[in-house]
Amino acid sequence: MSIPEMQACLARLYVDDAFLRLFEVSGDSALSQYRLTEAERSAISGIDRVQLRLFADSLKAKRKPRFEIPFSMLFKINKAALSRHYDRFYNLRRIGPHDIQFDLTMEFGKFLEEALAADEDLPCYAGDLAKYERLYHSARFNPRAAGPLADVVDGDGAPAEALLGEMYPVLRPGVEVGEFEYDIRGVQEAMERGEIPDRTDRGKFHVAFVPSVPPRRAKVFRLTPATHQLLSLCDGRSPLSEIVDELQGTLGESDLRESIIGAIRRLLNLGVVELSHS
Amino acid sequence: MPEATSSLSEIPFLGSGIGFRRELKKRLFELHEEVDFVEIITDQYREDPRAMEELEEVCGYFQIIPHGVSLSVGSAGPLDREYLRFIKSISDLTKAPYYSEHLCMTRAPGIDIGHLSPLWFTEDILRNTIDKVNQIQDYLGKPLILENVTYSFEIPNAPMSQTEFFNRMVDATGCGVLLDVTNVYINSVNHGFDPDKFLDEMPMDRVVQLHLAGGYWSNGFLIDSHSEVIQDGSWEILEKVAAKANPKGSILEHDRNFPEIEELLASLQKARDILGWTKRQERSYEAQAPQETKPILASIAQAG
Repeated sequence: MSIPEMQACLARLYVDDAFLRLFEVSGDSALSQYRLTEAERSAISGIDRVQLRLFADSLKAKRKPRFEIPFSMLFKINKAALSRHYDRFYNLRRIGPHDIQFDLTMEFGKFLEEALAADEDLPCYAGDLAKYERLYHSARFNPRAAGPLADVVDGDGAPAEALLGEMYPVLRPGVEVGEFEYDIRGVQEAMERGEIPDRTDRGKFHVAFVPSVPPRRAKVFRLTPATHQLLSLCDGRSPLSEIVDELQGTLGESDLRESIIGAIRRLLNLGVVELSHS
Repeated sequence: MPEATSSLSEIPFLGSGIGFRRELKKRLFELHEEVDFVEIITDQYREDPRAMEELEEVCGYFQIIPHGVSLSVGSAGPLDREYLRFIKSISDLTKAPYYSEHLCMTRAPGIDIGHLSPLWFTEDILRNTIDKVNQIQDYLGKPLILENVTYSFEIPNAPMSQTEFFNRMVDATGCGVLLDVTNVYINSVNHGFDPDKFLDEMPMDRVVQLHLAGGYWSNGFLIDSHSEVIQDGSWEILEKVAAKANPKGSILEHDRNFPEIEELLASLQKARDILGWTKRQERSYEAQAPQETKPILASIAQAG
C-alpha cells in the first residue's frame, strides 16, 4: 500500500476544484497522477461523489468568513463578484499547513487590489478599497506589531528643546500609511450612512491606520499632504532638527519649526510616531 | 502494559464543562461555579500573542483541557515538530492532565485541508498512528485522548473497521478515547448503523472524556454544526454511554448561534444527571489560579 500517495490524492480532491472536476469527469485521468495500488484506486473511486463534492464545497465555505470579514465593505458592495474572486484565490493559492491566516488575509487583499482594479462589475474605487481594508486589518491584527498605545509619549508635555536634538521620530511598528487614488475614507463614511457610492473623488489621498486600545482595534486618520510629507521623513534615521530643515526647504517656507513640532506632538499623541534615540 | 495506561487511571474527575468561546467569556466568568471545567481549541492561541494573555486569565477561573485540531495523527509522514512544541506550551501552561485531539487527517504535504477528514483504516495507517501517538505522549509527558469524528462519506473497502482501529490503537499505546456522543449519533443517522453496536465495539473502558453538541438537518443529512440545542438522539446515546463507561468529564460544544448562558448551563446539568454526577462531587484536581489573578478574583466577587 502507498498510503502517502493515497492521502495526498484525497487531500487534493478535497481542496482543488479543478482536480475534483477532473476526477468527476474522468476518474482514471485524475488518479493516474498518483502511484496507487489497485485497492486504493478502487477505494477512492468508490467514494460517494455527491458527498465528496459537498465536503469539498464545505471546506471552501468554512474558510470564506476568514477572508470575507476583513473585506466586509467590498463584499457588501457586490457579494457575487467578491465570492467569484474568493473562489479564484482559494484555488490559485493552495493553503498549506504552515500558513498563517493573517498572512493569507494580506495576500488576498493584494490579490483583490490587482483583480478588482479592472473588474467592471465593481465601482472604479474597488481596488483602492481592497488596499484600504487590507491596511486597516493589518493595523488591527498584525501579530508582529508593537503593543498598544499604553506607552505613547505624552507629546504635549514634552518641551520643544527635548524633542529636538538627538531624538529621531519614526513610524510606530504596526502603523500603516496608505496612498490612494480615490477618497476611500469618504466611501467608508458613505457606507456607514447606509449608502454605496457609485464613484468618489479622485486624486491623491493619504491615510494612516493606527493600532489602538483595546487590542484588535485601529483608528484611521486622513493625512494632509504636508503631514504625509512629514511622516515620510520620519524614518528613524533623521533627527527632528534635520526634518524641520528639509521640510522647510521642500515647502519653500522658513518659519515652520513650531508648526512641525506641533504636528509631531499631535502624531505622538495619536500613536502614529514614536521617538527613538538613534 | 504501556505506561500511559496507568496515567489514564490517574486522570482526576473533572465533571461537566463547556467549550470556552470568547463570546461566552463574560458570563462564564460570572457563573464560573456552575461550570466544572472548560475546553479550549488549542489552535486559536497560535497566531495571536495577545490570546495567550487571555488564556492565562481563563486559567485563573477554570481547569482547562486543551483540544487540538491540527495534529493529523492519521496522516502518513512525520509529526510537525513546531506544532508539537506549541501544543506542549499550551498543555504545560494549563497544567492539563491530558491532551485531546482527533483520529483523522487534516493535512497532506503542501495542503492544509482545513477540517477533520476521515481515515481509511488499514494496517499501515494503524502502525503509523501508533508510532505518532507514542511520540506525542512521550513528548507531552501525559496521555493523549483521541476523538471519533463525523464524516460525510466513507472511504469504502477499508481493511478494518473504525472500532477495531480504536481498540488496537489504545491497546498498543495506552492512549485514551474522547467519545463524541453527538458524532456517534450523527454518523449512525447519516450512515445507517446501530449506535448500540458501535458503542459495544468501542474500547469503552478507555473513554476519558465525552463531547456533546447540537446540529441541524440539511437535505436529509444531519450536520455537526455545534450551533443548536442537543438533539434527543444524542441524549439517548449518552444514557447508553453512562451504563458502559466511566468518563472523567463531559464537554458541551457550542460554537455559534449562542442561546442565553442559562440554557447552556441547563445542558451541563442534564449531562451531570444522566452520568450520575453532582456539581459538588469532590474533585481530586484543583484548578490552580496564578497568584496575580487571585486578588482580581476577590475584587470581582466583592463587586458582584
